[in-house]
Amino acid sequence: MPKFSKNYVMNIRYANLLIIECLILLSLSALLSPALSQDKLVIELDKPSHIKMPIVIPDFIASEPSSVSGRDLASVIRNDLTMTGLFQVVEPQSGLPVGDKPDFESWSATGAQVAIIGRFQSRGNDMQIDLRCYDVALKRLEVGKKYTGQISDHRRMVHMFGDRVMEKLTGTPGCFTTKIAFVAEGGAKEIYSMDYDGFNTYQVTNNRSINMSPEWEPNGKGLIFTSYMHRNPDLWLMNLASLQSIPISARPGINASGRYSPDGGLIALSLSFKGSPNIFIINTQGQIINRLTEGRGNDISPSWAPDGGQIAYVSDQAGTPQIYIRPSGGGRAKRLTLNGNYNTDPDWAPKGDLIAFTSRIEGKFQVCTMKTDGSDLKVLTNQGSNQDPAWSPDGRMLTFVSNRDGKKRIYIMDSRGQLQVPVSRIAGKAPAWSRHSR
Amino acid sequence: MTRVGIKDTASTSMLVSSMLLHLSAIVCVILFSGSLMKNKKIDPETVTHIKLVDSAPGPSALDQIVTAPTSESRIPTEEEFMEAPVLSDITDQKRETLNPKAIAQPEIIKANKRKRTAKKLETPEKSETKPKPPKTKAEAKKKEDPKDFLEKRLAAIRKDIQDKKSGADKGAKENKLSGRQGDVGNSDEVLNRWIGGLKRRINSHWSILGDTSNNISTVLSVQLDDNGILKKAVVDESSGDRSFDLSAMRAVMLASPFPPMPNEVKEKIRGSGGLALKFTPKGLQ
Repeated sequence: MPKFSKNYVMNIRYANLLIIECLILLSLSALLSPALSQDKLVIELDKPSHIKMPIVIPDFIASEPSSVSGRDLASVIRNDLTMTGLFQVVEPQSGLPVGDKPDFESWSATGAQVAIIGRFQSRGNDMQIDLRCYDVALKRLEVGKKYTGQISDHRRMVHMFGDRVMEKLTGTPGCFTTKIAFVAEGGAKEIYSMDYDGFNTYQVTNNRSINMSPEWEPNGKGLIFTSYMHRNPDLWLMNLASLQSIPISARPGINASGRYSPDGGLIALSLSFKGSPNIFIINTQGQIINRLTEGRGNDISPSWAPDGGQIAYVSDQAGTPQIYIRPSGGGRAKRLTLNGNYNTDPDWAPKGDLIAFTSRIEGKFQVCTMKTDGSDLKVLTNQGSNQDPAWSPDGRMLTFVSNRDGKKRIYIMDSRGQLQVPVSRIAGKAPAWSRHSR
Repeated sequence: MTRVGIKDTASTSMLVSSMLLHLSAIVCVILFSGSLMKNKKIDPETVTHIKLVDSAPGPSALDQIVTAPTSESRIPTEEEFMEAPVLSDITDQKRETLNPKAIAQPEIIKANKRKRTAKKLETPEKSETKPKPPKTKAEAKKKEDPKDFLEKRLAAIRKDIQDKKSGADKGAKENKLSGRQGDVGNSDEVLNRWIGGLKRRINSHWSILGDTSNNISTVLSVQLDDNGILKKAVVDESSGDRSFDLSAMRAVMLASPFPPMPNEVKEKIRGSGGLALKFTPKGLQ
């Protein structure tokens, strides 16, 4: 009996211990449970109130009297950033405190999230511009640059800073130092070049012939274009430094709408030496590498995908001009435009997702975009006739031709078409946007 | 002998099971030690200071976002600024704004004291003192903290409140209401109202680039003090798009101060292990 009872007591003791341990474990798991079952309290936000970043750019400050005004200098970058459609320049443009130290409180009071402050001085023909871009919300300097150059380059210096600001704030460098080439309308059809915003226009060709369809060399050093200099529409390359032209393709019939491949090694163009115009690929010496299209239809206006893998072009093989795409190495064509009886001038966006083109809608030409499968058609213009779209190298703007104010002029717009402004000082058509800043 | 034998057999079986239990307990503790540590931090004595963001990846992620990359390809006529004063000034200010150490510590002490006294007193008083608009508290803080920066910051806060009354005032009003209701016990409603106020304030300051993809999201961990003033914000999960991450960061910085936090909200956040804001541009179009 005593044996048994002692054992019994021991068992009870251990059982008690076990119970206590169980309790400890339970309480441990109770402690653990909230941490295991619950994450942070997450609040979802999905309604930004601005899709344009408010930015304040006070007139630049001159440290001594200068022939260039601080207002003009500031307006260069105000215009640059506004044209991207990503920024809203807020008031005031003058009167803000712009001391030696950033005054984030005053700048923030304007509602701006970013501020650009410029100071400059000029001596003789030389100029120095100090530019700073501040993040007003995070209270820090984002970009600070000092530019030195000639006074005549003052716009370019500010554009250069604009490119840096875009790179810093959006991850993609701006294209404010790029140029647009175009064919002048009117008497002589000469090729001109201008800054993307229409300043510094100069005449490139002077052959008193008909010149068409310019395209920039990817390195920006030259232009290819079709010219009747030798009474046949041949493809020419002009070196912009020497202004010397050499023929690239002078086959019988048309040698038209040459477009460089993304790596610059090949040129897609429309050749008709075998009958009706077809798309061919040649090298930069003019030798044929590949014939892309065949048949009796007219195939014109090639445009490379940014990866070089496909080419969009126009063909009237189905009776009306429509846009097709085809692998650049050869393969089956796919028709992209199914609506309307006139769709031309395809230009593949640098990001590869969209193709801009001209479509005739209710008797007028309009600039449109679509995805590369032909879906998601967007009509970007609605005043006058609008044609010949070409993307900016950063894909944030388009240039095109419009006759909305009476004569054909070169316009630019943001990629959504919200802002559309004329930039060429003279009448023109067939704009081509340079890939590199020059 | 036999007794001992019996005792031994009994005890070994018990010991084995006990050892197993101990072992499993140790394994549990090792496995979830991180969570345990977190829980240990939430001590009822120090509840008023809510450390919402203590996870290790936070600050480093913030550093990645905040530190400006220095590499720039230079072209002949372009030079980087080498003006140290401007840069260092900005970085200092940034640190003060983002880093809780400078501002937060005095607040913690103050908040603790207040909370404790409030606990000892009747609850109605607590609920009345809590939801006071941030301005009054901010003024009190100003007297306690002589730092120039804080004064500047407060001036900005006041300006902000005047400029964008909608968010803060609504928030404050809501909090007054919620404070009372909170005592009644409808904590979900209080929480939802506070969240609504916070969302309105952030959205009104949130500006994104028009061409942002709407399939991305950024998660920020934020730490607020009792008055709703932002003490710390770090990118927990980057969207991969730096400009979008920064847009979220700017929105949070500009939106502070938020509506003061009612007790229900504080407890909810504490119980959840922190407060996170998930930004997606889905609401566009």
